Amino acid sequence: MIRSNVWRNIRIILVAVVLVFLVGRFESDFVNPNDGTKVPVGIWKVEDLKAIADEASLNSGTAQLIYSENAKVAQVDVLHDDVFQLTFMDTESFSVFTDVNNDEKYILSHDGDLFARWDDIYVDGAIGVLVGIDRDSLEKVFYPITVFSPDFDSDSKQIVYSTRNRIDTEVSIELLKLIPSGFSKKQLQLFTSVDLVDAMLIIEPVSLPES
Amino acid sequence: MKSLRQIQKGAPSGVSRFRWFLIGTLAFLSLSAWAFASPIGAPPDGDFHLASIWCAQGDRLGMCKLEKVKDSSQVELLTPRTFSRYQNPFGHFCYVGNPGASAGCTNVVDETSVTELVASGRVFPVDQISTLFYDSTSRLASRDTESSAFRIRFTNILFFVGAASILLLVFKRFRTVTALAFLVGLGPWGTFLISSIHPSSWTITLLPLFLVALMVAMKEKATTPRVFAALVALLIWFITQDIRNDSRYFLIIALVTAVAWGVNFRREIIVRPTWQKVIGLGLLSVLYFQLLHPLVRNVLSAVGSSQIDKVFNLTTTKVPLTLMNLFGGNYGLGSSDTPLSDLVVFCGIASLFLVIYSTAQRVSRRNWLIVFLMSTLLILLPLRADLDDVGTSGRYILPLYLMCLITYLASVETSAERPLITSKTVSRILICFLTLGNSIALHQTMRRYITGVDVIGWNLNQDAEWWWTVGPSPMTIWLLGTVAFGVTATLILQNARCRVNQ
Repeated sequence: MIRSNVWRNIRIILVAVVLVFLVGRFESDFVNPNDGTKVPVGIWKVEDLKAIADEASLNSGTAQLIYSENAKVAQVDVLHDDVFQLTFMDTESFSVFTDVNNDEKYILSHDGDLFARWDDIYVDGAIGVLVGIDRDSLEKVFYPITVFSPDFDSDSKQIVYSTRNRIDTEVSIELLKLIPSGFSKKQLQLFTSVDLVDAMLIIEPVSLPES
Repeated sequence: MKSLRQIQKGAPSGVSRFRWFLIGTLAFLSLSAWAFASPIGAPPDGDFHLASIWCAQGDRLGMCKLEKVKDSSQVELLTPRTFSRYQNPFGHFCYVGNPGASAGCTNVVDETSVTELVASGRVFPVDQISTLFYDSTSRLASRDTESSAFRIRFTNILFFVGAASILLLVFKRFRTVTALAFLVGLGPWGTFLISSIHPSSWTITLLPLFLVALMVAMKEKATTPRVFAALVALLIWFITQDIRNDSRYFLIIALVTAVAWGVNFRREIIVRPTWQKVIGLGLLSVLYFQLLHPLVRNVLSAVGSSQIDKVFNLTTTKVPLTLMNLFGGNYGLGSSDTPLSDLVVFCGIASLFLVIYSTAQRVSRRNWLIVFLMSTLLILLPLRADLDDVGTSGRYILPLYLMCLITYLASVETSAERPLITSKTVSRILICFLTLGNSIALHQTMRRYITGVDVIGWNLNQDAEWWWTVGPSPMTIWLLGTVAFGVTATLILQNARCRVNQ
């Protein structure tokens, strides 16, 4: 009896060891194709985003949201005087808003009403930074800018913003946290175009207005 | 071996209780593997059920909008475009109809499919939007579809394991019988549906337990357990009757079966005084005409003389396909474009016949007749549906099949010397067949969604195109699911081999 018990325990331990080994092997081998995939949370209109974010926000019901946008290529062209045209090409299909109070991320569709309401939300322009890698010099840079009147073209996955160089180049702590390390601050120069790859536009926190 | 002998000699009930606790835990693990196996929209009619769940509580920001249909008292459900089967190339149903396409496309989010609420094509009267199933599961749904999928799926699994464990803990009499019936009868369809977002998850859980509760109510001698079992049956009736359109039919079949199985007619006729016989007969008549007759009439109307050729044709062609689908054959779970292999079907059928082979001599002629009559419904119900050109599949008759198995196994005469399964060899072959069938079905289902069937090979981790953003890797899920099922089967069959007097 005792012998059979010992054999049974040995068998169980052996099976457990093999299982642990196999699981370890499988986990180390696996590359999840969906790693980093943003599962869209489903917001179409700015007023819905406000309601959802305010409901979840820890800060007395009003969410402070940081807008960010990613694109493979960003081009800054001179329009007139100190106004530039910032073109985001090959963008993702949604914008991301991050609540500074709880780090919750919300995804807003480009086809919603965000861009139509941009200038109501960011009165006097949105203050933010344009981050990217300079296509010519491969330098990692970010530019403090003011962004207004975006225009989205769903066919070409392209967003065109109007921007101004910011005189006051202080960058808020919330934005600094979102800029990857190793990027140095630069200033847009008058009459000078800029080409960036792997670009990101980040805008300072804002409380969304009532509809 | 020691624990087996201990139980046979009347070991402390703590050992037995621990064994059942282990069975419950491992069954939960095994079903959890199935919860990971397919994406959120995979179950049959997934778009319909998701829309119904998302809208069960009316308007919900970013999830549902109810739009009144012009000039009627009906509303149409507007749900995220990603839930729409036909409106876009992306979303939760992008792979349907193309076996080579993985579910990777569900994570491609284009400009139009992100969150816009569009008409789902589902129109209901205002007061009939929701059922208990939809209402309950909708409370677990949120705008985050992946989290919602996990919450609902694991709750459904917990509901199955919890409800079965609690009831079988109380109804000791049919514990092993029911566990064995679930083990042999659930098959790929049962395990897939229980762990998915589908109302059948609840009917597969509750209908067999309803029959067990009725059987306890009929067979127990003491009053308290009888009343308790009857109350449980009543509760299950109220929960189950509206979950699916066909639930009520199955409830009635279970009721009639339990009465036919539990009543000793000879004794009733001889011993009871005349007035009791009259009342009993009256009650039976009411029961028949109120509940069973509509079903009988419906089924029999199929067999008119003008339709004999059609009946013959369907009985010999389409109905067998439906019966084979009960074991996973002909077309696949969820995405019906990919059937499971014949090996899975073979394992399911072989297991059933092994159980019958090892117990058939111990079932009385009367109980054989009851099981036979129940089994004819497995043919007649799909036949009726086929005659009306209503698509049918094995999953529709799965609750009935489980009830047949429970009735059959509960009819097997057992004693302390002669348990439910007597042969160790049969028991071992059963464990092999059942585990192999479950493992292959799980692997093939995962393969369908992870890479599409154009990729072959045992390693599901390799070249994966789709997987959940959380949780272990596919191979870990498959391995642990297979082991958990194998150990569950072993423990249940060990119990079936050392069962004491019924």
